[in-house]
Amino acid sequence: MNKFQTLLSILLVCFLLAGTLSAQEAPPMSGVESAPKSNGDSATIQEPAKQVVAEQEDDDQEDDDQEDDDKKSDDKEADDKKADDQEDDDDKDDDKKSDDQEDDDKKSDDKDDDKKAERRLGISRLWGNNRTSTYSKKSEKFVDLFETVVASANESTLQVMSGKRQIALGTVVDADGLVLTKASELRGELGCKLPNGDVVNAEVLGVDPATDLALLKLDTDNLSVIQWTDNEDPPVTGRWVATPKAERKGKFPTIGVVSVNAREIPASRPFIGIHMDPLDDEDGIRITQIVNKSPADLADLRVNDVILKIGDEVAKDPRFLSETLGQYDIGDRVTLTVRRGGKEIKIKLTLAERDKISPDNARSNTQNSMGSVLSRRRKDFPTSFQHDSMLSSSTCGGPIVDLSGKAVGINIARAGRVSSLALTSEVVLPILEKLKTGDYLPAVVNKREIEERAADLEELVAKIGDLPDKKRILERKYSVERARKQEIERMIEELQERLKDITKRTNEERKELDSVRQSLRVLEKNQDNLEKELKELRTGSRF
Amino acid sequence: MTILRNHLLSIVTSLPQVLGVVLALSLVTACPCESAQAQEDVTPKEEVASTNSATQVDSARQELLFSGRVPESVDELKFMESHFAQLAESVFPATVNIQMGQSQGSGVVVSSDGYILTAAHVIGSTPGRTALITFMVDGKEKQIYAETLGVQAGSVDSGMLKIKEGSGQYNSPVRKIKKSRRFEGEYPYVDIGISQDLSMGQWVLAVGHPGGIDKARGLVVRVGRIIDNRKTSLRTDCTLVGGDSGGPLFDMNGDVIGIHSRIGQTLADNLHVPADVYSEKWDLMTAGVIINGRGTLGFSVVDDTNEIDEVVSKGPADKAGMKVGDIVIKAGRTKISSKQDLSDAFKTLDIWPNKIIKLVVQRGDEEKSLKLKVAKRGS
Repeated sequence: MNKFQTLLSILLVCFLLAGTLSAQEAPPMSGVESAPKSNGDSATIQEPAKQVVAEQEDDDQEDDDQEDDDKKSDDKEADDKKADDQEDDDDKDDDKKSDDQEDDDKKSDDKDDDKKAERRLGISRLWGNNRTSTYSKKSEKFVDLFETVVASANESTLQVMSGKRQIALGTVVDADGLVLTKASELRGELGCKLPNGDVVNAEVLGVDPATDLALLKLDTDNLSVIQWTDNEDPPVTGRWVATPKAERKGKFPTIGVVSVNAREIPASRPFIGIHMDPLDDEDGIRITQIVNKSPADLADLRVNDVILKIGDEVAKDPRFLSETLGQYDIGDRVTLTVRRGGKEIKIKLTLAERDKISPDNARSNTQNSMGSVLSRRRKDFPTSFQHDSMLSSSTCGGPIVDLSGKAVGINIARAGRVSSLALTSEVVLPILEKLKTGDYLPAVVNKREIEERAADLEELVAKIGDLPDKKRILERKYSVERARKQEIERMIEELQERLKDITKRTNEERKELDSVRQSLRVLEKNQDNLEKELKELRTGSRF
Repeated sequence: MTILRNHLLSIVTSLPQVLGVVLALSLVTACPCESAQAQEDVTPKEEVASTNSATQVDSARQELLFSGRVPESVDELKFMESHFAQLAESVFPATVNIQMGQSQGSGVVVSSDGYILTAAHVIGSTPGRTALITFMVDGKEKQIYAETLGVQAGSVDSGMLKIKEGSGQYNSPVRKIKKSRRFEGEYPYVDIGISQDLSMGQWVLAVGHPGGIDKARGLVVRVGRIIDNRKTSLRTDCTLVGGDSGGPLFDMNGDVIGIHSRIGQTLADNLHVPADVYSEKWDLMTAGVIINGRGTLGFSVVDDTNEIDEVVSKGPADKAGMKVGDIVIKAGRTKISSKQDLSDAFKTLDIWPNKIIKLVVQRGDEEKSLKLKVAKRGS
């Protein structure tokens, strides 16, 4: 009877209020953020939201075997290595793990069959397994029904691979090998897994930073092109949506409903991570605190530094800094002119996303990552609708269809525990045309960034200058001097030894001399006495 | 308030026999708020139309929405999605954001006079504090104050508030509501459903303000199924996250059947406080009682007798007029003649903070009836 409750109590993390965590993204409510405080930069650490401790009941139940495909959230980078040696877990991890081709697939097939058998017989290895699958949105019958809905789109959905690891889904937009996907997930050697299981190399033909879409070119033909919806309006709240190939290594669709009507997804405010005070009677901003691991920290800004300029503009006061930073985007690089101990120095830093760093948001981030891996980029998109399909970072980039089976958009981000985002077809289609022109190669699109990095590199090289030569000369000089010093030290040691010996010997001799002197004195005295006595006896002056 | 309670009780008693009828009725009245708000003479046709379409739902579809089975055809899916869309529209007006100091949660209005269900951890266990309530009305935020009421402490996590009219002269550091933002009109509300009768697999809809209120985004809808139904917790695969806390879980009638409470590591671990918890403890919760909290009455007796030895100054007994030398002869309905009787009686009476305990004492020749309001222990 209590098994379930206790199972839950082990797993459950108490739900927290959004509190200040959300305040930065939410439009400010009246009064809350109206007047910037003296330390009005976004780094201000606010009082955390309160928290209630989850109930504790004793139990030994684990839900290892629950069929939550998105459950695992292994570190992305680590997945490559792990991909091959986790067979038992592949049901859970399918999103992140590579398919080691047939071998692996066969295993999970077997496993699925086992599960089906278990269900039919009413046997469950673990209690939670059966319950979840039967009564959840992942119930077999329900997913089966949607498989008919997504049948056509399924053919136009490819798995985008980086080596052996699936990093995204892709949407076939041209039979001769053009595939749309999510740009910011692309890493390493790219490939796409075709419906027949073959993996072919992919090259990036174009990227669009605003939508985070990338167009891949595959060396293949005869692909099945996605059908786009005829509806001009994106699906509204409550409508079913399905993402082909988003469950269990691309075998099944993931199903959800539209949670929020299409809208622009705002960017978060850029953040540098300082607390600050204005100066008393001149322009400038004094740093009073640095947030750990923030851009300010990484760029080695220090407490008591005074910021004089942001770019070319005079940093009047904290409010000015906040407003100025608000005009930049995440990832932009800003040069600050800073006064440190009488000297003026220039410090470059890269603006970061507040959520990723601020300790205020740690809890919110934790909750949002519970159960699925979030996309690297999950904000700042043009018109997108939010839906509750349980996607993962590696199942974005593919088409999302409505009940007609036609694509109504492309999944562009797993943005949080309750939120997946899809760009509407209306946004996607013009971008697709643009990318097809071939004028948006990464080298072109990233031109500014490339130039910036190149300039940085040049600057760095100049800074390094003749330092290596200096270093070599000094090293040589140092080693010679050091040898000399050691030699002298050795000599001193030796002399000290000798001094000790001599001292010892001198002491002994002195003692001997003293004792000889003493004896001599006594003997001489005796001699004197004897001589005196003799004389007296001789002279007869003594009788 | 009593009307609502009676209403609830009548549903409780009548439901088992005539489930379909009650549900159909509820469909029509799913959102009294809307009909109350709408100018009846302006849009009578639309109302009639929607009422008709709601009642035309055939029994197969009723069964689809409430039995816990999954749809078997695309037609059924289509029916469901248009139902979800209507349902979301109808429950949005009563779903609110709750702000307490720096923290935010969600809640839902369940009566025309402004009672709000939420989670205990959203409001804390100090009745009488002020919260800022935000409705989303046509994409605009409209605000009003509410006072925190009772909570069920410990594992249940239920809590309530009541909207307060007035200019906001309350004890908490709540800022003033701008006139343009003040909520005006009747409070939109939804009915409280019966959570114990929910079927496994039944389709449900979760609404709330995940991540806190966001005017540009508005309320967020999730659809899922009942994965487990226990006396003190419902589990669904409607994903939840911070800020959803206290928000409503609806059945396909638009009745609140749960309040969002907690999450676990997997996406299917979403826990809600069952609505029955609120219905059963309505009197206590609305009276501001901290259920399962530690309370004190502020008096002691001589040795093993029932004679009052000491009355704590300004404690519950003192405030109720108890004097040293009084002899307790009744606690609740139990006759008392010793200290043992008294402590036995208190065990069954539940001495919870803010609860009213009736004692009869003998003072000289007189019998006096005293009402003691339990105080928080240690306060």
